[in-house]
Amino acid sequence: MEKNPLQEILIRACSDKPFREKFIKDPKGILQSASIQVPENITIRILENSDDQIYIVLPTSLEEQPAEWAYEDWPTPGETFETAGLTIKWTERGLSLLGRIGSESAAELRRQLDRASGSLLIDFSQVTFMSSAGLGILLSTQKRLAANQNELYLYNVSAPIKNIFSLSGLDSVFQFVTSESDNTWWMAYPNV
Amino acid sequence: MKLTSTLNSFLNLFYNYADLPANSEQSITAKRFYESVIARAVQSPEFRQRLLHEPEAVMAEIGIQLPEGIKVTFVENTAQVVHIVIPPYIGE
Repeated sequence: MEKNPLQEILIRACSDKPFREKFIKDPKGILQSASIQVPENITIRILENSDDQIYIVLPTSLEEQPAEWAYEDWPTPGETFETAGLTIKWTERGLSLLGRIGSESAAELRRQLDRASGSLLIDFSQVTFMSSAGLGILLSTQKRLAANQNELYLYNVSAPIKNIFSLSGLDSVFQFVTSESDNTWWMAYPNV
Repeated sequence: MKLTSTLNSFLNLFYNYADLPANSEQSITAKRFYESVIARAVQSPEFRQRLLHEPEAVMAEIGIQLPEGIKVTFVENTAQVVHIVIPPYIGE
C-alpha cells in the first residue's frame, strides 16, 4: 500500500517535538511541504489527543455539502445512453457503466463525462473490458475534476480491470471504492 | 496529492483496518463505530448535535464503554474548517 503522507506526519509528530510544535503552529506549511495541497479558504485546526482526552472528528454534514454534490446541470438520474457495447446510465452521484469500454464506445463516454462538473462516482461493477482509450478518458476527467477540488471515485472495479490501471502505473491516481465499504462510504469524506 | 485524497485514504485505513480486539462484549470495531456513529452524525443533524454536546450520554446509549477518566470530545469539520487529530507525544 502506498504510504500516506498525512499518516507519516502524524507518526513523526508523536516523537519529534520541534516538528510537532511546528505542525501545530503552521499545519498548512507542514502539509504543503509533504505535497498535500490545502485549498486557500480552508482553516486547519490541530487537536492533541492525550492520555485522558480523545478527539473524534465528524465529517462535514450533508447539509453543508451541496456545493460539491448538487449541481443544477447534473444530468437526470436514469438518463441512459447506449453505444457500441457500452451502456452509460446516470445516477444521483455519477454514472454506472455496463459492458465494454473500447475505442468504439470511448467517444460517447467522453461526451457524457464532460457533462459532470462535480465529484463523480463511476460504478464499474458491470464493466467487462476496458482499453487504453477508456483509461485516457478517465485520466483526463480526473485531471479536469481535480482542478476544481473535485474527486473521481471508481466503484467496484473488478480485479482484471484494476490490473489495467496497475500495469499502466495509474492505480494511485484514482480512488477506488469497493462495495465492502457499503453505500455510506462517501459520507466519511470531509468536504474539503 | 490533494488534502481530500490524503484524508480519505487515512480515514479508509482507520475505519477498515484499525479494528479493535473483539475480546469483550463491549468492544466495538472501528467499522461498526463508523457506521453507528460517524455515518449517522453525517445524516442526522439531531444526532450530530447530541454528539457535540453530550458525547458521554450518546456513547453510553450506543454501548461504548470507556475507562473511567477518559474524556471524548467530538468536533465537526465544516466547509471551511478541517480538524486533524494528533496522537499524544510519546517522546524520542
